[in-house]
Amino acid sequence: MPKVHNWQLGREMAYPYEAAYPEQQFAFVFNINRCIACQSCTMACKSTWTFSKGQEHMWWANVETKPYGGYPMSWDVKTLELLDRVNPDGTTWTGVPSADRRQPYGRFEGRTIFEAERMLTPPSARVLGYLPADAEWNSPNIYEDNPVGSRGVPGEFHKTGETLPEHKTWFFYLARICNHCSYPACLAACPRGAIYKRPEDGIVLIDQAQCRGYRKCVEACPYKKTMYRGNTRVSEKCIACYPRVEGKDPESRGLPTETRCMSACIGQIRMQGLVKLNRDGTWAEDRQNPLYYMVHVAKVALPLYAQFGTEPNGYYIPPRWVPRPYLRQMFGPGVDQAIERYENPDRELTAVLQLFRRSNRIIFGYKVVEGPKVYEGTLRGRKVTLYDDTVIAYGKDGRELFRTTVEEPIHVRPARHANSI
Amino acid sequence: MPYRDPDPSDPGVLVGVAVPADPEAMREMAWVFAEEFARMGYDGPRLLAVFRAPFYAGAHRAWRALGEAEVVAIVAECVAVWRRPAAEEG
Repeated sequence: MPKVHNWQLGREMAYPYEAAYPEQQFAFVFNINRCIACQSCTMACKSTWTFSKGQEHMWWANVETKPYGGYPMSWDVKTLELLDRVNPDGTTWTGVPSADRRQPYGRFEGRTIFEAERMLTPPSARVLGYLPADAEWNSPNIYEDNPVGSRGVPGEFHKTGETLPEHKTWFFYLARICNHCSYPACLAACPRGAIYKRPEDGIVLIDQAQCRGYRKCVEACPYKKTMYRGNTRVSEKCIACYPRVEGKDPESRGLPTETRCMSACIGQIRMQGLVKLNRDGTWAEDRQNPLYYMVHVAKVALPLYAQFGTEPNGYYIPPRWVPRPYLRQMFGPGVDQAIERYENPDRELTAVLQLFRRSNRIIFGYKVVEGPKVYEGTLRGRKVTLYDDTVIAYGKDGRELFRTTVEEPIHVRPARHANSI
Repeated sequence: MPYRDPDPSDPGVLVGVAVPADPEAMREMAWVFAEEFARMGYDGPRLLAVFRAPFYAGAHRAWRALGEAEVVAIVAECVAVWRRPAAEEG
């Protein structure tokens, strides 16, 4: 099997195809600290792409409650168990997070889903995975903290929700879409070569004319973001709203625009963009791209389950309150540094965090213009200095998209227009 | 939530699993709620209302566990740092 360099793992890795990288890569950062599971992203996607007959069980974008929730049920627990079986002596990360873009999190010592030959059945299979049962797809968010009704009274929520049982422990909301991986497991597993990665933006698509619905992609994707449609007998997946990313959607007016799920995010947790790649698949230095800054400079955003080996292009600012062992399993060894930096943001990070969701246009660059000092004091015993800097966002054409300040004024809708959208 | 009693033969049935939780996690959550909402522009009274309202289960549970005085202190410290200009009507 060919070898490719997986920079998130800091090492060469077996993959069924030779390395090939797009010019730019679709990528995104989600700030989990701010997600309230309002499901606006979920419904924006649903109402755009998966509202038809046969797609009832499909949620290309979903938000699940961790640690208990999952769509499909227990998707990550099941894949982690498979990885445990293929790594009976356990897995570790060696080295320390560093500035080396080919090995920023150290080196992963363990087998990925592409390196599990002895567990694959049949032996011709290429990727370690499992096929969720229908029941596991059918009830997204079951048992999670959603409003419920009384037993035997359908169609009506409890009127006194506060009396319901509550979680007695920590939890957080994990928003997910297809990660448009650099080494997609779905693509690797497809026996018909029906799945491809676009050279212009790295978006992973299924050619509906080539697909015969074998569901090898559904079985292989460790994030379970390819889904089978029974009435057309082919598989479907998130298409990264590519007409918007291309700037061809009517709303885009020619400028690359973020996906529907990103644009709908009222919690302002999401930012999506396109990052430049080097010929070896690592991110090309692009210091003023906010995604590059958060992933490779500030290092506050980390890949989801990098140990699976697919080099996912979704990055998360980890939730600060969750026990670290759980977070290290989910986001890797960079968690402690990421949380430290996020809790104590420097001047630039404070400004960059203001860029989230001020526009639906994809941000290709930013500039921070220094402003006056507005606060000096302490927070939880540590020294804090706050500056009212201005951050300016630029689009693909280099023109200014918008500018905002750290001390951004908020506007409250008057009561008579509170819900007039 | 299902309306019938769980069927043990159902592979999708919920199985409770204990997860480790630091006793300090509640205090940490309260700080995070306060700081994140303050960063987003909430002022003191609005933030405190979130903690007091039982419908915001996580924040309210922290308020019950820590007590009004500690939550008020947490909110005051966060608002002081991440202070915003007064909300503008309209």
